[in-house]
Amino acid sequence: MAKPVVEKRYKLSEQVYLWELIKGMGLTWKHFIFNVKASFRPEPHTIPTCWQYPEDRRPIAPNFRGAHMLMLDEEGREKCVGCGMCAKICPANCITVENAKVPEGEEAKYAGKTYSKTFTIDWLRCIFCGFCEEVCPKGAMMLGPEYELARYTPEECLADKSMLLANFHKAKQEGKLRPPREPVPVVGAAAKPGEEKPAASADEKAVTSAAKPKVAVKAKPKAAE
Amino acid sequence: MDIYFWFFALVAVASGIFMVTAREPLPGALGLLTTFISLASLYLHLHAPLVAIFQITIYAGAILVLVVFVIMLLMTPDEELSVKQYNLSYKSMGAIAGVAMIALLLVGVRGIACIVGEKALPSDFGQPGLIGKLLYSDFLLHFEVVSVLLLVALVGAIYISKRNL
Amino acid sequence: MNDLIIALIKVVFIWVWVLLIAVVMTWVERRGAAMIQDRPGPNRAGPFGLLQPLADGIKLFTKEDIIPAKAKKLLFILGPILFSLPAFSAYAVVPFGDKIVLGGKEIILQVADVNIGFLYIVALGSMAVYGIVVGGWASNNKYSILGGLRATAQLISYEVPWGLALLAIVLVYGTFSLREIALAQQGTFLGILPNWGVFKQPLGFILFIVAAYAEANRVPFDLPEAESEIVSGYHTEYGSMRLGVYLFGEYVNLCTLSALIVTFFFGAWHLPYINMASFLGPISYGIASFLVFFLKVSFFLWLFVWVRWTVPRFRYDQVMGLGWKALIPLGLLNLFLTALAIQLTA
Repeated sequence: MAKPVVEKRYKLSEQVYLWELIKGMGLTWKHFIFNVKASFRPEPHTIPTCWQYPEDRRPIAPNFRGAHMLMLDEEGREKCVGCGMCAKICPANCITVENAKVPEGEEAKYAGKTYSKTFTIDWLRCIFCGFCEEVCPKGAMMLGPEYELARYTPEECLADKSMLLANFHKAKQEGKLRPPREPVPVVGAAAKPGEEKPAASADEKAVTSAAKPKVAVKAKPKAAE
Repeated sequence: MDIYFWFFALVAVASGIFMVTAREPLPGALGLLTTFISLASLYLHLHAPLVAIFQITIYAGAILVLVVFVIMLLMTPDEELSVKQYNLSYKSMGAIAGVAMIALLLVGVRGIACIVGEKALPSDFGQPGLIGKLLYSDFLLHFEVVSVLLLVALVGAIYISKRNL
Repeated sequence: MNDLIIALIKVVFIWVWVLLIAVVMTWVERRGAAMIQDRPGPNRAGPFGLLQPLADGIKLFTKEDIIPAKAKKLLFILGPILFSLPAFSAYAVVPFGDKIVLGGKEIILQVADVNIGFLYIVALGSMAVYGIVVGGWASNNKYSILGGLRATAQLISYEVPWGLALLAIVLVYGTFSLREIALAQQGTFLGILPNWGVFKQPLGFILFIVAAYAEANRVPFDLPEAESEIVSGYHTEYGSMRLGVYLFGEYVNLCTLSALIVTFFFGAWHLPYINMASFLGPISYGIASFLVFFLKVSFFLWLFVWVRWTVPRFRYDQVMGLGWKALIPLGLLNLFLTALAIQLTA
């Protein structure tokens, strides 16, 4: 049922408008004085509603999906084995992986028997869904905390292997490396869990380390600040 | 040769002609504005600053603004005035009225010249205070008659525009 | 010849000064708006963003100058010029200080102390609308025409209460010269109050300031440009420096109106209870009167900004109703009461 329209009856003081105007101006004056005082303080984040972006950044969410990183293990070896699962699952078709056997004499650099000779991600196409991270059997791919990805030319947006490794090093240095995400349990498909289990158990260490730091995730941003 | 007078006289006449012949309404109104302003300059030249200011305030500032308002209400910038001026009898009637007005003015000017004759200007001629004093002493009747006339015109206008009051 | 040079210097000085104020006002408006709305505003260019007007000016100057294909070209160019001319020439009769003695010569801090300065202001106040109308018409755009139409109607409506409020002031001071009105406001009124026009004409002051907001097309009466209804009204089609001239002319108008309010109602360059001339030297007195005058003017300039970000825009019929049904009767009443009071006390 439609609501009956009730026209508000204004008091005389409201009709004159001048007094109401002065009340309103008092309100805006309060805000003005508060913000003027705040803007004289030296730190960047003084006015509560505004973030002065380059100096003053919001803390990102613990499982933020930013620029990709190629992970190294504790011994400094590349985890990636160049299997190409990430390229296959990528909905935007932005990952290109070239698989190769680890050459003689360089076994110390790579964790597996094969490695990715080239690994390119086209950031212009990437939608940052994080499927590549989820699908990776070795936990070698991770979406990091970096989010300033604007570049001047399209060529610069093609992230090659060195850039992805550099992202890892940078995040590690700044202590922003989050623990790997827990593998998502696949519901419904009968064949798939059997398929995935061995892959997951093969990398037992990754799973256990994933289960543990759930608490640490929450503690981390506070520590970073 | 009075350069000041001739300059503004020529501007006034030229902009008047432009106003009458303009195809678009708003440039015509601006031509009229130029006429008013040059007339005001001529009044200033005649040591009558009050009349000059009234010319600008009332004619350019109020009446012409109303004219412009009506132009903007009734027409769009792409229309030309000739669309609205197809009626030949209006045109001829306007011409006759104009000529009659000029004749009347000429007679009036001649009449004033006959009555007043040539006089030296008083030293405070054209000062606002003096005009006010004259209006409320020597010309009080004329002033009141004009006020009543304007009031009647006002009432009549309201009556015409709002038939069912 | 000497007088001519002094007059020229005065004209150049006041124009540069008013332009400077207009430039700073663009910054004040944006920062003030931001502070009132809980955000920092433009604070990157220079300290506190003070160089922002410079950046804006450079941007406006270097932008492409576009004249729409369907616009009336000549009128389109004429619009901003017609708008800014009255704004700049109004300052000819507004005083900006008392007097200064330089090299044994007494210089009045006013471009022209003419007898009818008052009427000159009234005459020029109504001329600014032609710039708006011509701009709106020449743009050949329905929003622009609506903006021009609103400007004309609003101006005619508010010219009347404005003039009535001014007439009451003339009754009180008995002169048309702005300088004499300013000089008459020294000392005290009724023994305790400063001898300012606002205490003699409280109703007249309210009428004047409301009408002044309407004449300057400022919020809450900014119907000619009303962004939320008619895009941006008469200057929708304008860009680059032509738009800059429109915006600039608006701030110059504000400056003139604030100076008028101070001259008529707030004692011009007089400080309350203090006679500056009695203890200051001839040169320092001139400078002090100038500074006091512009301190007061800057308060009213700030008031324009403050009101703009407090009050919402009126509806069109409300504006007309306020003008004709409230302000004009009040103006007539004020005029009558003033005349009565003068008659009784004289």
